[in-house]
Amino acid sequence: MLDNAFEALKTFDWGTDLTALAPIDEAVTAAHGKADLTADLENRLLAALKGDLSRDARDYLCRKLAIIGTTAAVPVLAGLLESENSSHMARFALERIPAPVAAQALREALPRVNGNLKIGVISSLGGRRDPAAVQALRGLLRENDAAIARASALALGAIGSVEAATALQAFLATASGDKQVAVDALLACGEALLAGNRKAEAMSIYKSLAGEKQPRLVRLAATRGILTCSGRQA
Amino acid sequence: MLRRVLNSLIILGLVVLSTETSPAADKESDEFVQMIVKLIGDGDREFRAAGLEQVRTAARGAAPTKLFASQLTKLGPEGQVALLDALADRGDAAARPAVLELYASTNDEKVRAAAIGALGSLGGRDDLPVLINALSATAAAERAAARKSLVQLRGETISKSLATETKTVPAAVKAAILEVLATRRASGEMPAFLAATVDDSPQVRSSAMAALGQIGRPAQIAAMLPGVLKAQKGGERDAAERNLAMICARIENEDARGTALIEALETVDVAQRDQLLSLVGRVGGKKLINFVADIATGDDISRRQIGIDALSKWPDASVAD
Repeated sequence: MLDNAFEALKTFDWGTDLTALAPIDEAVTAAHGKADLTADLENRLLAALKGDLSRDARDYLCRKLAIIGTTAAVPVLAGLLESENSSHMARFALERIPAPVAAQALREALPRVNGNLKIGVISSLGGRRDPAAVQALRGLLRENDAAIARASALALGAIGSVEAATALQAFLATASGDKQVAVDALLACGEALLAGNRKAEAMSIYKSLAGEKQPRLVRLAATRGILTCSGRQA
Repeated sequence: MLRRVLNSLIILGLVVLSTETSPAADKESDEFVQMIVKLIGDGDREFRAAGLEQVRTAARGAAPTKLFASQLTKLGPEGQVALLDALADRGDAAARPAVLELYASTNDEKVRAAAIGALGSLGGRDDLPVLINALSATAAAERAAARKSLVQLRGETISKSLATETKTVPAAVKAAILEVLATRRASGEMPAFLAATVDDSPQVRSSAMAALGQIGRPAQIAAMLPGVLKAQKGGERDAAERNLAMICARIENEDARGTALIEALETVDVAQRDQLLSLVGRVGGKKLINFVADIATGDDISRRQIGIDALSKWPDASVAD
């Protein structure tokens, strides 16, 4: 049954009957919590992914690897990051594989990709809340491509660490032009730090954004943040 | 001995250190309270709302409460209403003097209603005169707020005090207090409810009967009959009978229900009993059908017709069986 399903993958597209692939879905479910089954299935998925498959079939395989993928899947997925056709789904899997090497693969891909692919990798690093990506993202805040700069700011906001907040504050202190995304990201850092009980650090961020020079909504958000920090201390 | 004294001193020192807050914490707390005070007076509605949310939930203690309440006089009517609501939600009685002071000094209807509304959670027995007086206020919002607060007011003696007040207040206020007592489920004040069922005011009688319909027990059936008889024929009598029938319906067993009503009917004279036969129909049940049938087929010709009338108006077909 499982062999038939992998055979069906060769001609698969999203318009065909999905029941042919049901044995793979069932195998993914059955492998949960069983290392030996997971390793076998992951190897079969990776072997299939290396073959000559349609974009939809690769898409399907990446979705399964996002669920059961381990360190073993990272090199294969990393190899897909630079391709317009497969980068998105490779990131989909790498974003969800818990192994730190998955984040490392995304970081290493960053200098090798451009345009939308770069924005995607930046977003995935944010999605993973990868603290090791802060250094690289800090540099990208000043990128000439505004979309990349914005994506970097948002990713730093999603990471939400003290280091991410410091990078954003340094950028805000010196940058000219539209800083709104960086401000939003800094507020996100405040929330993340507050959620992690880092009240002093969160308070410092909120106080830096509560001044009269800030737009009304930013001041309001910062004020609410200060009140939340103070309320927890009181 | 010396060691014991030293140990005691060390323990005492630790206790003092653990209970006293540090100057830094005090400063932060003061700044927090001052920030809330500043926000309460902010011209921007959303900043004000952020401050008011803290008034509701944060910086506990009488001192901050008094400080927040002292802002009432510094705000416009809209701000006063919002702060009164927040202080009410905070529920700290330390705000009560400022609320009463504002109520006494303002003519703004919305502010007066909000102040009366706040007394529900901030006030106590001492506020009954103010709240009862507000039941006859010109503004409907203030009257409604007074009712709500009287229902909400906590304290074991509140219901008893309200019941006592029913002896002296005007009819409209008396009716309102009876409704408040019913909502408070003041089942200990049955004498006040029952006395009001025969009041000269139809409004008071109706309120008393409605209250008994909500919280009365079968033990009150006989005592309610004079109230049914005093009710004016038409809407008032109809409602009175319905309320008494609701109490009868609380007796689950049909026979026991019939017996309870028959026993109650035996406490009034024959002429009055005949007037109550329509009530018997509302309660229903075989025992009561037999009770009326005995009258309809009895020797007294003048009463026979009354019995036949009652059977012909029986609310369901069971009478034909």
